[in-house]
Amino acid sequence: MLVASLLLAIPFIGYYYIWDMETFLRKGQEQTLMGTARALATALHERPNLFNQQASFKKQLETGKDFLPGKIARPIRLDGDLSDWFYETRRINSYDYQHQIDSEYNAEQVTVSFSSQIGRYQDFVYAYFQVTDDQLMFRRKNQLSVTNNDYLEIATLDQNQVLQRYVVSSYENGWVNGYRLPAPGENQRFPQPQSNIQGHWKANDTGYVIELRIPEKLLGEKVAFAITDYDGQHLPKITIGSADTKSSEQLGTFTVPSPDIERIIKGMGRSQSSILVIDQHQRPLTQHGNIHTARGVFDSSLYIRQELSWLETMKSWIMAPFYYFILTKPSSDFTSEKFEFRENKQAHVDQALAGSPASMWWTTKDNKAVILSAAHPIYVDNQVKGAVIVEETTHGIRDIRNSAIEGVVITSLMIYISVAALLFYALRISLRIRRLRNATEAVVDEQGRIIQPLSRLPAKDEIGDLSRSFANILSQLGQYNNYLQTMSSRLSHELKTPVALVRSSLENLNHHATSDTQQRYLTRAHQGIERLNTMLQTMSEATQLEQALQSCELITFDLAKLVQGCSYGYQQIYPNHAFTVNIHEQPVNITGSDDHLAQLLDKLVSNAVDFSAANEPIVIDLELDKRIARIRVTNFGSSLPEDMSQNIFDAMVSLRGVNNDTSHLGIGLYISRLIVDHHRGSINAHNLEDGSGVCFVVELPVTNSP
Amino acid sequence: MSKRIAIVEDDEGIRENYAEALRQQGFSVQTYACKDSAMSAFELALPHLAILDIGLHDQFDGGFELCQWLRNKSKVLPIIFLTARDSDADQISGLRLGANDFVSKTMSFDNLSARIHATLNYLSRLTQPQQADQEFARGDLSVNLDRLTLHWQDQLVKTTITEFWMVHALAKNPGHVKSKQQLMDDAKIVVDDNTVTAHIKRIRKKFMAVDPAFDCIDTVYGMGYRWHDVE
Repeated sequence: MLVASLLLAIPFIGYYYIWDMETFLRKGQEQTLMGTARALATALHERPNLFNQQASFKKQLETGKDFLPGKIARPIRLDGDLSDWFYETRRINSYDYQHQIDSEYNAEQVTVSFSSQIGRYQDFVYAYFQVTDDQLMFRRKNQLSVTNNDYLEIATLDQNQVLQRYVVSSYENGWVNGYRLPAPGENQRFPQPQSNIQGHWKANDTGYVIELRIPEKLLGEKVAFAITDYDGQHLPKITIGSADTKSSEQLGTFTVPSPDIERIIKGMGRSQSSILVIDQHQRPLTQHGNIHTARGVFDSSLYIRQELSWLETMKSWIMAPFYYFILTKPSSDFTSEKFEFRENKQAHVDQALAGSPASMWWTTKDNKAVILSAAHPIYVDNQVKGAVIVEETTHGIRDIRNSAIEGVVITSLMIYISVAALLFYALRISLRIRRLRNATEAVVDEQGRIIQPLSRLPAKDEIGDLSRSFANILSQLGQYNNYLQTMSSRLSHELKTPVALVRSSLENLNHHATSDTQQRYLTRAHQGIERLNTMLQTMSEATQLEQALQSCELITFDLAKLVQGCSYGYQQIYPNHAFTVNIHEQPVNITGSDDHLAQLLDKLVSNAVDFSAANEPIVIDLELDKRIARIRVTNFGSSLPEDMSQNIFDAMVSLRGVNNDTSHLGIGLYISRLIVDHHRGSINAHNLEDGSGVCFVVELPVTNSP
Repeated sequence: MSKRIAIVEDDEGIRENYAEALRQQGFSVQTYACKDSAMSAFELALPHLAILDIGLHDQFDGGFELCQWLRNKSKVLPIIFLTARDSDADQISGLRLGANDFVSKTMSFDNLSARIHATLNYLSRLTQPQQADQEFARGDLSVNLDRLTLHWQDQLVKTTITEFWMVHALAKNPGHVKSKQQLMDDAKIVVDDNTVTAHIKRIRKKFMAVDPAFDCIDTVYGMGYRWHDVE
């Protein structure tokens, strides 16, 4: 068992090993990722036109002033309905009285505010302006000016670094086009319609909404948006916006990722990673690949796997509980955050923008994936102009880990199952052997007599075989024992007939005997026969007694009376010996056969008399010890041999001298034991401590009822 | 006319020895070695007394079967078992089957012949016209010495001859303890102590079958038995 429990270590060792392996793999993946980032960055070095020059000069970008329009997935319908804009609340810029341009009115005086969002789709920049205005003033139909009403102004530095200003105003709800304001020093005095700035103007309860589409090439690297609130001829116009549209210095930067970057990245890109290029203000310029499918170089789905279907199903069936409780299947369904909105995961990016490559990893918020991210700076003229960020999940590694754990689990399970089977087998065998031992021991009682046959096990294996051969041996032994036990009775029985034959012949001879000599011989022959007879009777006595004990009825009687009575008799029978009788208690009620107990006492006393030294008394004690009646018959004389104290109660054991005149077969004490056994008592003999004699002790259970 | 005695005994020596001894005493004796020859002879004429061995050759209980068969033929034919098989069980079986007595082969011939005479006497008494029988009464017990019968409270107690003589010996001197040896001598049997004990037990049972309150035979431990009268 102890050894088997050591096997418990296997899965732990395996697990730790896998843990280590996973760490190594992750480190390797980080290195690979870093390498990828470096390679990409190398492709992007020294290409100033990839980055927004204007933004590069600025130390700090301002929200709501510097723009980097995000990509829009679907084209926007220009209908004044903003529901087709994908609302990223964090991408919405809001402007109110704090963003006044050329005026310093307080909050009460400014009745306009707006929020806007800018996005890119193909070659267009889309924008909407949701304006809150207490009073919407449309351009009157006959009005030439486009600015004596509520209008939107867009200013930008074009490709030639010349400030261009466009105005969007409307006579009514519906389709609108932009107007280009003439630049100072131009011949043009009036705004010219700019038909490629198209949009939709829609009034609502709180103000109005302008949805716009501007070709990307109209907008340069700097841009500003402003809404002017016109409430009447004599009231001041209030303009709020991202920057002063009249000054090219004031404009905010407008960054549109260069298509070159996209091209380069696409060329370099790998499907197993998600690639992001940011500028020095940490604004993503381009994104390639999807983090959800970026499983890294260890992605197992890249390798062709030959699946043995039934093995796989069995494996998955076995592993199901483990996946349920411990492991997780790497899922592509985890929450990821867009780069712009990450928190606390920028350390490596900052480091990269400071000029040194770095990487980090984190667990997604829903704990479903671990994302590895490596950042490498992009240099232009030894200035860090941006960084490449390459990201992957560790799903590939986790696939590997999971399959390794599967291996460990299945191996451990197999080992456990086989060890359990072995243990079970061993236990069963030892149990069966133990059972066989117990059964074998139960066959023989304390005296070594076979009391019942051994049941044969039907099993066809070695143990069954052993039990059968035990049973055979025991039954043969039993038969032999039986033969020995019945030997004397059968012998006596068989001898009776020839003895009778001799006796009857002698008796018949008696009638014909004539001479004295013949008579003398006849007498001797008679004596011999008589002795033979006595012996035969003694021999059959034990058998007779056993039969008698089986059939005799039990009565309840007073043992004290019996001992008392018998002792009187002995005094008469053996006049040469003194008897001391001590009966400590009366009455002592015993259930059993009184005659046989009297016979037992006779045997003990005659035995004591035979071994007693002359002139020594024979002591008979009867005492009651709790529920045990104890009879002691003590005689003084020779001691018993040390190792014979139990043997003397067996049949045919006699310690008498050979030259004894009476024919003794050692049956007396054997009979005593039979009687005691029948009464469920015990009989023992021991030498007195001073070696002056022998004491026979009979213990009998006392009857409960008086 | 001499009485005819049949001896059924498989051992030739013993058979002939007993036959000879009995012939010496004036009986006419027929001997049979096995059950079948005995039966075919008995079909023709029954003897006055049959002496049977239990085991006859390979027929382990041949004697018992023969005894049963004879009892069916005649209710009064005296049957004595003479056998080496003298265990309690065998004795009880024999007496139950209706044998008049059960003698062990280890007994002397004189013992056997005494029993034969007693049995025959008893039968002749039964068949002869009755004069006053020799009998004495002791309380509820009356003992008829001629018919060898015991009555207790005027009811017949069926006993074997051995049992009769034992009761007789005890009841003749009430209050006197008779040792087992004395009882054996009186009943003219030589057996071990156990058999005397068994006999006494059987006697008590037979009396109790007639009168459950019977308690006149006392055991005196270490000495023997005595009869005490009911006051």
